[in-house]
Amino acid sequence: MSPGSEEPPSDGRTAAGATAIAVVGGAPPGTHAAGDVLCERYRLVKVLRSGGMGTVWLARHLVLEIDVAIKLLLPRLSAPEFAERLMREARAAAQVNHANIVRVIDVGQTPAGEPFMAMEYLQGSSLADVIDTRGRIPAAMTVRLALPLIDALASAHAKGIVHRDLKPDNVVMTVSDAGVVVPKLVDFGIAKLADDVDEGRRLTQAGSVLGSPDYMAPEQARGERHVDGRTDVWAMCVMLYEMLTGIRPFHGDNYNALIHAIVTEEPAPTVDFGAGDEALWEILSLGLQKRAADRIGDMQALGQGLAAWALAEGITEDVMGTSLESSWLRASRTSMSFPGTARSGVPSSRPSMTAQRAVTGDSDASQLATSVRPEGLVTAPRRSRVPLVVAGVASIVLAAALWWRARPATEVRVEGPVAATSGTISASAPARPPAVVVVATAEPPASAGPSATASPPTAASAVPPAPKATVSARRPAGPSRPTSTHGSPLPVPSVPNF
Amino acid sequence: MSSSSLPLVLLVDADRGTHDLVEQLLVQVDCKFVAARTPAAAQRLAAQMPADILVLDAATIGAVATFVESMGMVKRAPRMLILAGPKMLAADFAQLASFGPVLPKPLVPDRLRDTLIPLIQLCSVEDALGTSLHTSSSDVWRRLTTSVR
Repeated sequence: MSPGSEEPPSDGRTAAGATAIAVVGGAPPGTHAAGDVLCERYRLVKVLRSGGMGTVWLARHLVLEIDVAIKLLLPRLSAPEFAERLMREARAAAQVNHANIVRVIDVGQTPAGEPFMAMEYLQGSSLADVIDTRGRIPAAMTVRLALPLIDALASAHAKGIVHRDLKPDNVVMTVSDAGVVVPKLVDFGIAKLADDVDEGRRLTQAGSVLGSPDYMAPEQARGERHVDGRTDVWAMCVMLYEMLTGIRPFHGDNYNALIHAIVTEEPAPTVDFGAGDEALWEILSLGLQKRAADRIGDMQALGQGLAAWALAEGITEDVMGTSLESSWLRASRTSMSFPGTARSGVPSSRPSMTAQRAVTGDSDASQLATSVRPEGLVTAPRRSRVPLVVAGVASIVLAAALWWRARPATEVRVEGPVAATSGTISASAPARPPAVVVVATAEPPASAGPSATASPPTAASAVPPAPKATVSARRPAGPSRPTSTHGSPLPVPSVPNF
Repeated sequence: MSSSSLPLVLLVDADRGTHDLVEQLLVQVDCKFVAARTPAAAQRLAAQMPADILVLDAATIGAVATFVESMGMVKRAPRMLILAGPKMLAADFAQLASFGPVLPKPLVPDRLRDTLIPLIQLCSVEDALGTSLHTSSSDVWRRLTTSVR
């Protein structure tokens, strides 16, 4: 069809909602051109990107008069199983209404059998572009960027949806009208409904490997059938590692070498690259445990650990300006446990961030002038509007932190019976010295050894069958900010005002 | 020049204070920045992303020539900025100076900026191609580093 020409009237159904099928008229498969109109409402404007699965077009919604992105599968992939996969992607994305997940507007299918999906059009750069442009991202900024995405994934997991293909390419950094950076997850192309195992097996062919190799969890790399939210936890931690250091934790000259590295090698600590500190690496390393059972149990736990780390660093908001305290550490759950299986289908106890976006504090010039973070981030310190209960809990945590201060920096504790694959995060209010205590408890396999002498990050796998392993990562006592080599202390971030 | 056409700066220094200082300095500069605290970590980085500019702490890496050779960078001839201890002999200082500018520690931020930024600008001028390709991500980066919440 020539550019600008009108689409003939459709003889099929009209899409109604994300899961309906709209039969459209138009060009033969694979011959779409700018100006073509799909479904009497989407005028194709230009190709945004082409990938192995299909082409994404910028299109104009002729009724709503908004720009949308149309994802069209390649003609050779119009077989029913691929069409069904696209529908699954649409359903998966549509089921999670979250500010940090791309919104699906419509799905349809051409008469030639090409399935398509209409999504909100995101203007911005991918996270991959940002990493490629900058090399690495300062630790504070990394965590502030990641937390909204982790919240989005926690929401998806609560609905039983696992992304399974997390990577920087699938994060689009948009900028809102207010000038706020809003990271959004896209491409639930191989998302899997956790409670839809049978269908998942059929669609992905049992044992086949799906996902981007660099971000694959070991269980994905091995082609295991059952993956759950912990697979996304792994991929998120690989992304965090890459954001922090500029390189991915596992490297191989070819596909097999990469898979071998993922399954067998331990990554170099991020602190070797001067990225973040030991406490941050402790969290990441718990998310990069080879056995899913040893890994941080779910996104909620990962988010809380990172939020606690950020608060300890004096960071009070994520990149969107959402209060970390209210969204992740509300009521200062000093020891928040998660249900045993920590499967993706386990609902999150915390409301979605979209429902509780906190309006953050006011700022003035003097505050801003003193709150420029070392990494160049500018944060406005919040007024003392935190609920009284938080202050109370903060006092308790402060006392605990003082107690912890006198103890060794890292320890493995044996406390009691192990709860299978459960994750526990103890998160403190930002008392100084900051204490970030990440506790991972894991049900050991039947063959687990009897000794419990390992140190993090492999502690969980070395725990005896009965006791609970507690991995505590704390910052050493003393000044938490480094002193620059020129003798004067570096700018100290403002401590949140409680 | 690195793949994104922006100069890639690799810092190798065991001192975290230096990392923070350089990161602060470069966060608003159009360049890529990666860092390592050990020679082994530096080699990991270099294997995946050859640097255009090396900022090397002499005490961390030992012999500069040996270190650079170990990273397979001899033919790339990256520009170098050497960080040296305060009590260095004149002869050693002169030897280091053959690789590039030498800044004594403790670092003075202004001197570091005045030395490092021109090196980056030089690299940028040498390869101005591709700047426009990254306008969008640069814009996001600017928003990230200047957004006021």
